[in-house]
Amino acid sequence: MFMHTFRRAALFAAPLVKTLSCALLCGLLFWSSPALAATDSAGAAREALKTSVDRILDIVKQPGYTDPTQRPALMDQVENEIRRIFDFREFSARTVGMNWPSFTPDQQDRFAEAFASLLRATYLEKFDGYTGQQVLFTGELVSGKGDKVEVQTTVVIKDKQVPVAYRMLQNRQQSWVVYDVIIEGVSMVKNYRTQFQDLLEKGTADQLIERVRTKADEVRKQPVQPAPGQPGK
Amino acid sequence: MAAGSFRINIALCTACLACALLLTPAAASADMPTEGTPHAPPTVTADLDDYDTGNEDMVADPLEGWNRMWFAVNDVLLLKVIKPVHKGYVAVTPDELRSGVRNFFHNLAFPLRFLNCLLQGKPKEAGVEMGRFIINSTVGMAGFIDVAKKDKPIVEPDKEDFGQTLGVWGAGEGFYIVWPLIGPSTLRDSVGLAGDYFAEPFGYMVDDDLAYFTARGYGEFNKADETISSYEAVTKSAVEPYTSVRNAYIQMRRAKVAK
Repeated sequence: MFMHTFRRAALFAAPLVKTLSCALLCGLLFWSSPALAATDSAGAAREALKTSVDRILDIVKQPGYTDPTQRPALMDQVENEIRRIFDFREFSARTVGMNWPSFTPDQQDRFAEAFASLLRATYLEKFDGYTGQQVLFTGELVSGKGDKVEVQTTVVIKDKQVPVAYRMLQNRQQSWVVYDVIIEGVSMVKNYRTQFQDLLEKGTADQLIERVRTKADEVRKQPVQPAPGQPGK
Repeated sequence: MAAGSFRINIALCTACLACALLLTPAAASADMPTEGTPHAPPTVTADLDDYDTGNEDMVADPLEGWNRMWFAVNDVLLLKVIKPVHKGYVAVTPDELRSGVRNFFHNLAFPLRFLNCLLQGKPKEAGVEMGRFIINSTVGMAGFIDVAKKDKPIVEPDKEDFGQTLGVWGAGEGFYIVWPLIGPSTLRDSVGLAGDYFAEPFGYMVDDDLAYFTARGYGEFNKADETISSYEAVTKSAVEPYTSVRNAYIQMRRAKVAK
């Protein structure tokens, strides 16, 4: 009965890091016809996500990605793509939640940067290259007003399938951007929000920003290690 | 049943294992879920805005002091004791043995999942579980080889347990609790765990407590890598790991109950 529940607790069907890396970094186009329903929100959001996923995939599939000398440049390219599709400010505002308006504009900027840096350190910098993962686009959910779309995908890693959903909205430039990632029913925004709520109850905004920065540095110091005992098949 | 029958089980297991090792399972390829057609009309829902700004509703945590202590102990046990030992275990055992043991214990716990599918009013899933059990128990060498995996219509459904059944029936979570070794749970899921214990046939097959816990412990240890990687995945990017794990557990269980 050991760790029975641990496994459950910790999102278990698949490693979050791998999943998110893969989800962000790869995907396969299974049909090449352009979406006919480009006018509807679901189609537009899905196409935006798929375009980014494909571009990122093209970058990480380059042979140079495994070469430590070429990798930093390629990683920057990936980061640019991620920043285009992923709205870190929206993501930050939602994770801080009700306390966000009490942050000064400067604190908001610093927080968004620290948070982006933490996510880069945990997901992008630990991604050691493409190993055949696939992203299947399985459907969309659209809000009543049509202003928000949840694009649902399944990431296939070896013989595991992990449901990953992307919540998207239209930003001021009318592009569809991601503001939350939901892996196996666990929303990243909600998860971080409970953590930040806790820390903001006990401390100030500046302390929280410092804490996020420290965590990013900590993650950077850890050696890249293959996921423990990923079953060979 | 006496301890003697367990020895027979071991003999059977050994024989099956040997077969499993010789016949490298070909069930390595992933089953593709069917892609939604690109132009299928999207589902319209009213509640995508459910968490714009509101504070996250969380489970009550009246035992936080106790919970944090066991969270810290479990963290050390998992990462400093179990992880290195499991690494050694992986180094000396073939993949086929580990996946065989995992499949075997999974197959054995079939009645538990079957019963809970029925209790939750999911006859289709129950049928799938039944189909997988029959195929894997016979063609699949008493469950060592997941033959059914190759068969598309009987892809493994989500694991149902009593905690989820209680949730489907409307029982509240109660409060959050961290058990030594077992990890995160709630009052409801703890009651569910006790139910699971009684519904699992393994407990009736083995009379001797020591043998039972050794075998079950081995079964869990065998797949500790899954626990470790999911635990690390949640805690690695967490600014406040205790809260992060608590929330991930609650979100995940709620998603399972809602499904």
